[in-house]
Amino acid sequence: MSAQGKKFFGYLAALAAVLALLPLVVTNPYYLNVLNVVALNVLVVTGLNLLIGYAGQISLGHAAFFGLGAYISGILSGSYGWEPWTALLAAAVVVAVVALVIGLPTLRLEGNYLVMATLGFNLIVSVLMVQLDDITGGPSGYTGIPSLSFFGAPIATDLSFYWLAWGAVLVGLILARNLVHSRVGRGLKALHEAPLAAAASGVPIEAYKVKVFVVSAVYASVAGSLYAHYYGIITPATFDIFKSVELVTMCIVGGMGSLWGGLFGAALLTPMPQLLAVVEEYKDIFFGGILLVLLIFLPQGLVGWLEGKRVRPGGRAF
Amino acid sequence: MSALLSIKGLSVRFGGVQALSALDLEAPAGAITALIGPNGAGKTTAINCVSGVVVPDAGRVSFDGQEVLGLAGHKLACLGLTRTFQNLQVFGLMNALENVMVGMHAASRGGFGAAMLRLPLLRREEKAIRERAEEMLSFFGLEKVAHQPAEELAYGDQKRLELARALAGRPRLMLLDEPVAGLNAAETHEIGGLIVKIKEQGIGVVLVEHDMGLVMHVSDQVAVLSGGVLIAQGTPEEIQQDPEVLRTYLGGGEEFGLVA
Repeated sequence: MSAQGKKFFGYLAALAAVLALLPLVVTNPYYLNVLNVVALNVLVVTGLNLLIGYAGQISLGHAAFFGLGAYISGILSGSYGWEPWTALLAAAVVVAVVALVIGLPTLRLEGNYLVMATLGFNLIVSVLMVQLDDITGGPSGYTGIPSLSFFGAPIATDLSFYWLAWGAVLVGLILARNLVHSRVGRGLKALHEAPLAAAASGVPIEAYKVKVFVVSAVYASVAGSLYAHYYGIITPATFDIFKSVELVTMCIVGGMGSLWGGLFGAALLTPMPQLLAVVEEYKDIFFGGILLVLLIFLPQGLVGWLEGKRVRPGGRAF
Repeated sequence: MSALLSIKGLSVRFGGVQALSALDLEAPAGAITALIGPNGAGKTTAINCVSGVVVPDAGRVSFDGQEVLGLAGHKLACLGLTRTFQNLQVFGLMNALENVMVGMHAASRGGFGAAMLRLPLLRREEKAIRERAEEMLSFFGLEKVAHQPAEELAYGDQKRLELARALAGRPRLMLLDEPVAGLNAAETHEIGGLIVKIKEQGIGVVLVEHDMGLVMHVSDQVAVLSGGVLIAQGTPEEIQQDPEVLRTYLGGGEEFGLVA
């Protein structure tokens, strides 16, 4: 194994150890719940980081993919009696196709048109969640979503979901890390830094951008489905455009292009509005403010800053 | 010598400027074909057409008998045609080794799924990519800087890194756009030697260059462009004595030590 690989799996083992011990200390269901939400955010941000940090494309629609994952999986199992795991997989497939349809035309264009397309997409999805009330339950939400189960045992408690959600995070991190340290991952970094040279080396730029966008959307979808089966109730407000901004902020706070950065960003920002009751009301301003301050003073993100990574003056942040 | 690359009637107009007028050019395998001419003669435009960066108004380009105009940029690399860039295009934040590993992209296959699951195929391929990249770094004398970010390398090292990246995927033809621009005499001499070694591997080289010493020293044939028109073609010796070339482009011929 390479030195990089040893470092990554060293960190991963440390993380797994902390995660294994944490429930011994954290027994209050409220805090377990916070940890569970952190896990789901980490999962989305890990996927988003592949897109933003490696391929240099920004999505403001990942809350919509998160929401589609939640609603499709929730409705298929709640209204149509699908087995929840099957519903989760079906949702991921649908979201992959949706991401493909959005990504194909927009990622062909030079420049960051994906931002606009995904922003519009998120708004549309939010409206549909409210307006299709026969199916979605409208603004008050969709209820009666069954829990996932593990060999017949329902994953219904905060603690059992904790194992599931963080297990998913570990798997998600390993898959993402494998991608980053591969021929494909190098191609993604290359197309971000010097597209002409990447193409001249044989990197299929458009196809890679579309594929990594689809992969990141699937991460969000899986997290959304897990969310739906955990809470049993989902409301449109959870998946609005501000959630997308939150996710991008977590990605940038931690450090774009660093998988650990995404973990830190999500772990740091997820509990803040809940822990600091004062800012809960002004959550969106709070996230917007953090994003601004960070981009100005610490564009390499927290993990990048700790590692002493510099961003070139005048260099591209994205 | 059969032509590996064949350009026929290539014309490009940028607004009111006729950058290339009906250029015909052939480049065989295992030989160095130099393309020279004053600034603005259309040399880089020609290379950009071949590599798919510029879409010509007319003309045909075939590589090993296959029509390549209009092909997506990355497909050319898969066919065995790579290039370097006049203004450096290294992947600045990636280290030198990774830069060269990207050059192996066309010569490897593992996709997203194989990469994420780290399938055995991918592990084997990754090993082969790394070994080839290390081989390239030592061929170009870059082993010492293998783990430095490319943007921190000296200018001459970045130039050689581009060559290493373009050669890594075992191409059949390389388009080199001013590989020694901005380098001193010693570095130029060294790169000249490397380009000859590349040729000796049976690879065709199209060399766009201003450094006449290098061009006349290493080239098997030379094509001279002026104002988008091919004004002469031949061996370095023929070009050095071509009165048209001497008059319209080379001034008095001091570059060759021929005092007018």
